[in-house]
Amino acid sequence: MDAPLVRAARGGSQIAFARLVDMHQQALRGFLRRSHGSWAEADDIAQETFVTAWVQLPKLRDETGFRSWLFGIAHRKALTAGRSARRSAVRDNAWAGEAAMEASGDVGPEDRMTLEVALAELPQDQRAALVLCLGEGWTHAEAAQALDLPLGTVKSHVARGRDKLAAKLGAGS
Amino acid sequence: MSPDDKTADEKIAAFLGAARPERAETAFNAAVLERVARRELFRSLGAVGGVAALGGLVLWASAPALAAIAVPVTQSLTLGGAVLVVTFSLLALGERTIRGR
Repeated sequence: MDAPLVRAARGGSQIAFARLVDMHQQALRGFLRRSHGSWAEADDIAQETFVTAWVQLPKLRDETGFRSWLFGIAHRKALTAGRSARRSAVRDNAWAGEAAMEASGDVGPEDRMTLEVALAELPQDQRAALVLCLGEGWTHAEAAQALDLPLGTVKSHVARGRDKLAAKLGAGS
Repeated sequence: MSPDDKTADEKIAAFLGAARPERAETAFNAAVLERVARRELFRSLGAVGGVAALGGLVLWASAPALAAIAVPVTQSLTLGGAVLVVTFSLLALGERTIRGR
């Protein structure tokens, strides 16, 4: 689905690239908000990711792999963007995400806070794998490609991460 | 189904998925495209500047050779130009003189 647009964008079409941004921005921003830990910075990183993607499009070999390539850029940017502010951001993130979460009504406020804290305690690679596979519905192989991790590592990250979050939920309720 | 009725897996999936914005925001798209356009502008300005600097460098390096060619040419042009100015001046004056009669 992305390939024709990627080809056009690689040829210099900003219209095609705008379409790609439109198609992927929600998933990318959602991924960064959870995996990076800072809602405030997530959108900035997402913007930088798209700009970098525009610049590096000629280097993309597999046009059909645009999505995982894009998320890989985002993950590397998130890793370098800052590891320090995450814990202090938990409180702010809870506030920032409150409106959206309450609107969804899928998770109660207590569970949400528990999950926020538990997620912030996970290593960033593990968090990213968890968000892609359990939050975005990616396969382990797709996540491994995007995060540049071995498939076994991703499977292990997802299983252990899920167990930790579930255990916190169990302890909280 | 209330939030309390969900399994842990359902809660985790809902929690992780809920960070995604509900719809694609045009403001976000516009911000990205503005940054892309600005980058392209700077890139083309840089390219033009580079070409101009390179051209200037070439001219500067070849200035002695160019001067050797240009000076005689300009001297001869000066002489030719002076002759042309005098000729046209005489023609103009002559035309006025004829019209005056």
